[in-house]
Amino acid sequence: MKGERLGEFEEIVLLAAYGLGRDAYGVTIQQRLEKSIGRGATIGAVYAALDRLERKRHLKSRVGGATHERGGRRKRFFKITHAGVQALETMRADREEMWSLVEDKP
Amino acid sequence: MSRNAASYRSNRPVDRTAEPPALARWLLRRVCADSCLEAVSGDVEELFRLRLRTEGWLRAALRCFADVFSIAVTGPRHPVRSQHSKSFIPEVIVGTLLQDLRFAVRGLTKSPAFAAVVILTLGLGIGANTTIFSVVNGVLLQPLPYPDPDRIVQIAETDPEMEMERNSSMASQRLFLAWRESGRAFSDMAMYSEQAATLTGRDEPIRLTGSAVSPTLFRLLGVDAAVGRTFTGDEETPGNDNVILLSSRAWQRYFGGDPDLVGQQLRLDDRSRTVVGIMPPAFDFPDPSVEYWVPMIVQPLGAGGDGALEQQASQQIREEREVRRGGPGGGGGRPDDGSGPGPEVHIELWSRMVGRLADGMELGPAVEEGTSILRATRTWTGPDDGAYVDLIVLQDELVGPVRSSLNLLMGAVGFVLLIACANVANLMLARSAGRSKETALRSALGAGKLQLIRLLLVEGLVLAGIGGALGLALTAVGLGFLRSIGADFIPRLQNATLDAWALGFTVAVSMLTGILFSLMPARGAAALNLTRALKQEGPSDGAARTLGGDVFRKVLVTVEVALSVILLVGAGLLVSSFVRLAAVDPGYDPENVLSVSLQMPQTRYANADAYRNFFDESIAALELIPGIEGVTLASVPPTREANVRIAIAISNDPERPDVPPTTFGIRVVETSYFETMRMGLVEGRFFTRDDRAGGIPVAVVNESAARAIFPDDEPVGRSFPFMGGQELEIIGIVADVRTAGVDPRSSPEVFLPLNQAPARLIPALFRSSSFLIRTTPAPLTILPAVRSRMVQIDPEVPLFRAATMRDQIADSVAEPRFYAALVSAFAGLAVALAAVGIYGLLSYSVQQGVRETAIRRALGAQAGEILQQVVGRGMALAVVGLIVGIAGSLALTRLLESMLYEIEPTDPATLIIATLVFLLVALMAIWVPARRATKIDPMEALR
Repeated sequence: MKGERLGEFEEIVLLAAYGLGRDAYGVTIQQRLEKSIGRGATIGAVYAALDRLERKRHLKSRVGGATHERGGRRKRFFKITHAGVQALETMRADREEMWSLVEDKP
Repeated sequence: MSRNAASYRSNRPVDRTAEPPALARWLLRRVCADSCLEAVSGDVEELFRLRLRTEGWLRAALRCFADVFSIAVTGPRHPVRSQHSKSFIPEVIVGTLLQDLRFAVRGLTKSPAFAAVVILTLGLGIGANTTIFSVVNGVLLQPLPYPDPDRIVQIAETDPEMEMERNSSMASQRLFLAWRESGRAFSDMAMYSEQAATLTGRDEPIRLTGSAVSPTLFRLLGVDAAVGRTFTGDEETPGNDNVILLSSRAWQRYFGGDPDLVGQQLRLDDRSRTVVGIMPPAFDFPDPSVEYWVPMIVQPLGAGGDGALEQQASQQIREEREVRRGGPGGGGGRPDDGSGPGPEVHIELWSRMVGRLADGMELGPAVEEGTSILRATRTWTGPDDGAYVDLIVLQDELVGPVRSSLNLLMGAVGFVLLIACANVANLMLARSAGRSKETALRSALGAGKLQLIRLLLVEGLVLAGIGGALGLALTAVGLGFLRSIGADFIPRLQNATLDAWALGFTVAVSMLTGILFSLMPARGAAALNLTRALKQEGPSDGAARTLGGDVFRKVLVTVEVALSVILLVGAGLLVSSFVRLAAVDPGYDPENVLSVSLQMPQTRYANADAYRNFFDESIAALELIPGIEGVTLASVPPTREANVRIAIAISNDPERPDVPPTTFGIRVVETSYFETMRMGLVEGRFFTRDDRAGGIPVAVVNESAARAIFPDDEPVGRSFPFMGGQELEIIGIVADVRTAGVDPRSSPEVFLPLNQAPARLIPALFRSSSFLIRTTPAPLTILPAVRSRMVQIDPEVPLFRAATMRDQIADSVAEPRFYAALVSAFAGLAVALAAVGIYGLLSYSVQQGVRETAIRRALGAQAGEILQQVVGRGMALAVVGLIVGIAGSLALTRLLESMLYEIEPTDPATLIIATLVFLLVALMAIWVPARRATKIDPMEALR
């Protein structure tokens, strides 16, 4: 177990949800991964990650927004929590710190 | 916002009717947890439509399946808190059940010895039960595979005056003809008799076993041929009967399943017969060994119809009786004063007879109709004739002889299962007492009583499930074993398969035991007093008493002991009965004797001379083989019952001439038979070469026959009336030869020399006869030489059933041996289980009483005293159980009576031996924990 730390896939899924804001649900998240960075993840993989993130309290979910495209079924919208934003920023800061050490090297 | 994300929200028209493949949707509904099914399936459908536009249907569909499979693999399960979720409660229950299951398995792997003993105990109990139940189901419960099988009855002609063998269930052809002609009870009637014949015209002659049957038999049973047709009505008239039906097995085995066989000619016993059909594989009437069927001709016979008898007997009738009533003074006279009125001779052909009851006809009226027809046609008896007709439903007739034995086995395994359950309950009880602290802790941490009980229940079910699976595997092995050794004496055993019935039975039994034995500890858990259990620092007597299980466990062990003692006594009785049976003096010396039967082709050996010449030549040739001490020949080997019987009424009292006839078995033997078999001569002499055709007709009789013919007199040298008015002089009396079996009481038998036996009987008697060869080396080593000599003499005479006399005797007691062995195995199992029960109880109580024992030791008790105390406690338990068991066995073993030979069901020796055996086993089981108690170190235990 990774504990409270984010895995790589979890990180990009969480980032996608963050970026999509109020429009974040299974399809938009999957499409963003596929179209933006070419990661054609299956919906199962996406949901597994969303699941874990919700359990780690990085995401909250709510039900709503049925459309005809999805046979009248409601969506499950995800919203990043404060803890989720913090986790992402920590990771970003850590990365930048590490990169700066790489770039400082002659 | 990336442009890509925006693109899917473009306003391009979306085909709203396109749906993902139905299979994908169906799969998704099955693999996706209810809590997220709506969101996930919505997403899947939306993605499908999206991809349909951009990638085409095929790729969209493929990716849709990939999505569904990914759902199956990752199994998203949102931690739903929504009130809308319909599946909240089931999910929680499934989740905790899985948790309980995992917990139970983990708990059991932590105490592997406990788990192994429980699983093994259950597995053996369930396995034994399912095996026997499968047999009982297949043999007794499953109906015969014919339409309305309970309307098919066996018809038996019974005459209380004639001492016929029990269970013969045969009827005369005369009754058949009369009843078929004038009766209304049956829609169809048929006669049948077993026979054997030689198939020639191929590489080597083959002996086939078959049956001669009335053509109506097939319509009666409601069975049609698989290929071709069955017999037609006119094929029972002479001249039209050259037809044959083959069994599916014979068709495959001898003709490779040749599809063109129907319509071809076969040479059977040198007679050409047209194959008209092949029967279905499952059709095995009258028994599974049948390979062919030919029409049986039933013709009226007149009184004294010797010619007809010869004709018929040589054709197909294996069993026959001649009834003769001697006239006044016809018996007991000397050869020279047989001047009374000529005796009237009636000849009867008997075989088996079945009928299908006509619509609306019941057994009672059918019996009345048959009896009145029977009495009307028996012309030679007076009006006080007590003969009657018996009707037995065919299935009862087939399985009747084994019904009580199988029920006995069922009872025995039922006991084993009860003991197994008691044992498991005991073990579970001990286990729960042992972990009362753990349970209390669990309870203190918030586990409800319901949860505690459920955990125990799940643990019980896991054990029962694994035990049941083991039992099922044991059943498969056990059934194969039983079918291979029991097929000779248990009819329909090939039906005993592990079918749905047996499976359901196993599952029910294992579930019931699971619930049963988890009930007791669960009750304890529910009644648990938290504070008391937690306060105790270690195991002590208190824990067990808290659970109130102490007395209950003692009762359980006592019941186990009692049940196993009953089984032990039953097994002891069967074993000693079998030992007595096997030790019965056969009346001859069976060591180093080879018995080889031969089947004579009928046409070329049509008369007595042809037979006699062939036998003379064969015996002369065989005697030349090195290692052979003597060769003789008999119509029936001594291990088999005489296949021809003659009923003769012999009156020694001129005042009371109308005595009931006695049935004599007829054995025709070659001159040196008695010497070669080393039979015991009681009086007189054996046959010699001088007892030839044309000489004074002589006979050797066995002791039973001598008693029957001349109860008060000196029989040797006197004559008695025989077939066709002939008087036979008794020249010798031999000891009774016992054909063994369950009922080895010997019947009266008359031996006739081959050279003098009535010529018309020779073909009937000797078509299947046996060489008996006494050898110096092991008998079977001579067999190849015997075969090659016989082929030189006549290659068309097949030899069969070659075996040593010892083996044949062993075979004849196979049935009692089978039951004795099975019941002994079950009794052994029961005793072992009971011993485990005693051991478990005592070692548990020793363990619980460690402190008490330590204190006693510290206060000066000697090891011997401690030992005595524990042994005394164990023995008290064993003895109480033993007394109950002995009482129970006195009540129950009389059910065994019909299976016992020369031993009373209350045989004191058996009771004593069973008691001693049990006490010995119990002492061993008690000794180990008792020794352990003496090894307790007070210093350590009290620290």
